Amino acid sequence: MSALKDRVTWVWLALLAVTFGSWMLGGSGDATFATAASILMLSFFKVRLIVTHFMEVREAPLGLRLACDAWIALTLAALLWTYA
Amino acid sequence: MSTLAARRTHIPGEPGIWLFVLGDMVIYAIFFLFYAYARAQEPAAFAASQALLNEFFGVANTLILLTSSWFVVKGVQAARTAPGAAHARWFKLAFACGALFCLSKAIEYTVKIQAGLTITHDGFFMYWWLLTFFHLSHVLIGMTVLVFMWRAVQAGRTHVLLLESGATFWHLVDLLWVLIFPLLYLARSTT
Repeated sequence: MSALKDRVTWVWLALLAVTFGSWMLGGSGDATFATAASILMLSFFKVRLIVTHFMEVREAPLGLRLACDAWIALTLAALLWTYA
Repeated sequence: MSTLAARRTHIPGEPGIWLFVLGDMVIYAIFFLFYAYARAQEPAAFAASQALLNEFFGVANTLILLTSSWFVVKGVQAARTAPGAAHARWFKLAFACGALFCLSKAIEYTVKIQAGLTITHDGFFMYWWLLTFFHLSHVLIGMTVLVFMWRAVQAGRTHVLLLESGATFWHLVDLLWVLIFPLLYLARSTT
């Protein structure tokens, strides 16, 4: 099966890897803003991968791409602000 | 602005589904912000309650849903390139992942209830129960949609637009959990 030549399969593997990475970060036990911020930023990075590649927004008109990126940026920024 | 070859764009699914998806994302963002604001009022108390969660459930659920989304992408790809009843299996696999997620949730909820960590236990757990339960309702709806999708494919009614719409909703279910897990289970800052 040529699944591994498939971009979305690589995206899936990247998502799994980042999930483990965040888990390791979270498991470090330190309750600092830096760690929390890193975890949140990684999670929104994952969301962007899903939106861009799984939901095919990379091929969508500019309006939809901007709306999705705006949601990601604004939600992340607001969350980070509460954690600071 | 250059008027060279216009870039061909494409929105998967019916436009209406995207209106719904974006609206749902805004609602969840507001929900997340309410949680984050409450957390910021008592970071130590929230962190202490968070520590009572079992991260294995969260990680497992994330891996399950990420994989289910991959199955759905493969299913839509297959339906586009070579329509055939066999492609229904991708959506059945995604459904199986959803069922696993529900089982995992049932176990986790049972453990929490037995430990007395109910929705009224404290501020953190109120949010935990509300957010995860609201998300679970989306998973159940998504699983119903997957059933419609695989039955349509099996019956030879492979309307790609329908499959894309259902897929879009399922990816929403996935991406919301991708945020819920780190927010509720991992991110704590008491500094």
